[in-house]
Amino acid sequence: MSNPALVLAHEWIGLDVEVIESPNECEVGIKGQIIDETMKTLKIKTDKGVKTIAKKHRMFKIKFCNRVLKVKGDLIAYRPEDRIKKGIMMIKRAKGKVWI
Amino acid sequence: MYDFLRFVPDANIDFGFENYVVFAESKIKVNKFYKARLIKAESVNELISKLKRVRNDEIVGVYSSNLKVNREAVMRKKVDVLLDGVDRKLDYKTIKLAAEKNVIIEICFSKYVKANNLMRLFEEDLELIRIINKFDTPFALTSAASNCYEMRTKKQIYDFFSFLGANIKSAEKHAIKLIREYYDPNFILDGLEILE
Amino acid sequence: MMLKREKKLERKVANERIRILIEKAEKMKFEDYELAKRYIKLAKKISMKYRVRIPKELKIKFCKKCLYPYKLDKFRVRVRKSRVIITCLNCGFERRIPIRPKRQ
Repeated sequence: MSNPALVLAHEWIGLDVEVIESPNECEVGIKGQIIDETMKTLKIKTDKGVKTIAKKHRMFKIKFCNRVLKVKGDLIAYRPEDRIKKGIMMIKRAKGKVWI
Repeated sequence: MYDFLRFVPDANIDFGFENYVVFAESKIKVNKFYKARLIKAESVNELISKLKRVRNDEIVGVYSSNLKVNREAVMRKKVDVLLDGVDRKLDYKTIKLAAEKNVIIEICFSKYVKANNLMRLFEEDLELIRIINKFDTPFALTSAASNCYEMRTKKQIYDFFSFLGANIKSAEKHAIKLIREYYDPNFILDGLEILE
Repeated sequence: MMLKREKKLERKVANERIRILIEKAEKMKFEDYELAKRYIKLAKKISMKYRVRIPKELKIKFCKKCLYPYKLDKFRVRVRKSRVIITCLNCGFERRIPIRPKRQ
């Protein structure tokens, strides 16, 4: 949990998220807690009910282990259980090694 | 935003760029500029043996007039930039591979100052930019000066290449990304960064 | 050279995720029963993919057959013949946990 890069591999259900960039202008600014995740979408619980938002071509701001991170949605567009393997490999390919 | 050079300029020059990246073969002192390693190779074996000595935390640029060396350099993990000169050779497949492997292709201005046969250079660059736009390959527009008389202002370089059809905004974006990857601790990988 | 997978780190992350998901399901089961089942399903998929065991204290919190978490009015506990019998009233599955007396 100490490495902020592990957000790609870790659980997203229960985290606070905000949409900052999207091709659909109505989606920008949606803020709330994630309650469900599928391969291509996130379900976010906001003040005005549950919203479903696609992962691809979006930019998210997320709170993870006391830090605020900016994540491109294309990096997490896999099945939730596949993300552990693929996320760790993605960090390893970019940095050369993964520290804990 | 960033210009690639082959020599260390004076500390207080101003050509409109934010900062400069100095490519050099041997170790030199660069005051306030970014340092990078230049590798010149004429055969594949020479390239591989020189790449072994390079550390992981350096920006690496490869310059070669041999087509096979350029093809090999694109596939290497340590290489970040394919440098430009009078007699650099690239083909269609290398540019396509560079888009896949995230290697920046440099297009320089100084070869137009040096060269004799200008028409050939124009034809080559037009073809190169056409393929780059097709595959969305990372590229950088620079002066690549080896002395202070070959340096040009930012506006001159960008106007010249936008006339040839290059997309200037994406060129700026790729250069900034390269510098942040090595010198910004808050940048983790493309699309993931710490805002605090 | 091919990149190798970091299997030890993968399992560590998988363990953390399973714990988060099942604890989340425990809180959610009074608000939305179907969503709580979905969390358990995700936890089970992670444990099967990375071959991680679900710890004992978390395992007895949901039905093995239909994956609904045990909730008030939806399960029954009886002690008979030196074992605990837990019945899920959603699907009728019985789970028997033996309790052996201490040897002297």
